[in-house]
Amino acid sequence: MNWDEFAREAPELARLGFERIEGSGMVLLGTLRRNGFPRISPCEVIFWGGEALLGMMWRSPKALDLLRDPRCVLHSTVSKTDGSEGDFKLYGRGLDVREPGLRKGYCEALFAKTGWQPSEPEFHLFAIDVEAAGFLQFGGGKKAHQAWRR
Amino acid sequence: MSKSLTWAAFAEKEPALAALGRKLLYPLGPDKVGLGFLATTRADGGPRVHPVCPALLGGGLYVFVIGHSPKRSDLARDGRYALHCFPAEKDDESFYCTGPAREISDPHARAAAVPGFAHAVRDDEALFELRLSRALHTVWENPRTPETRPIYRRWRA
Repeated sequence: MNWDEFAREAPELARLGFERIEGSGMVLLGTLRRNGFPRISPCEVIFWGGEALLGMMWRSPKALDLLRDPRCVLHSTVSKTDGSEGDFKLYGRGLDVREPGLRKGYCEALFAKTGWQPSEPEFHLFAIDVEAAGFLQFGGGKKAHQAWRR
Repeated sequence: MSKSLTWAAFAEKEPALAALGRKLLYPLGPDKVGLGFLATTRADGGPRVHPVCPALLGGGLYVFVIGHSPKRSDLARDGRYALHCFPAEKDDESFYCTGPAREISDPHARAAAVPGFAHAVRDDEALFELRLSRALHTVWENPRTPETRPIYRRWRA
């Protein structure tokens, strides 16, 4: 399911995730290398058209990972080292986006946000097919945890 | 498992890259807590990512993970890991290393490592040494412009 469908199933978790990801505009993306080792790469996320979209440089290692094996995890970045802001994780699959309208919408949304956009066709675009999500927060000596699975 | 070295052996071969890695794994300063994201492999083969507090101690790169956590199970079952520094504010520089993780089960070695960590280590945390098979430092020139390009400094065991 796409981001909006996930948000209808788990609105509170999606709100927390949206806030944490939009705050920095970036996640740490976990993918799988050809040899099965995990890889971590910073990646920008744009929410547009009901999707959580990840744009990547043409033929970048993380893009090639997802084209070979779409399994991935997105983890929010951390700006407070005490964990009080909470960690959001999203598990799913990165689906290769070829649809011109979605790619155009992504480019326009990215330009509106950053003043820059990639040129067609030399970038990869992936939409996250959401399978599970979690939010973990520490504060005041307590641990709060929410999880959802499709 | 691929060939791997301790942090000290890696630093001897690639001192400039190791110095960049040390700087980026301690973003708050050399005497503060180390920070990074650790990726492991789940039982179903998919990736998992979590924030950790790595430490460079006595020539090794170490990390404590909570004893009954999924990442501990991942590392015990399949030691393959990837460690990435916390992204810089402008995301224009990063350090990444990967290799096999090995649990340090000797209680004396574990106890000796505890004072080297700036965070409060709990009794149920398990200590792992992260050996290095590959390391990568990336600097982005002109980020988010048509002229953007990465400049890599790479090492492989």
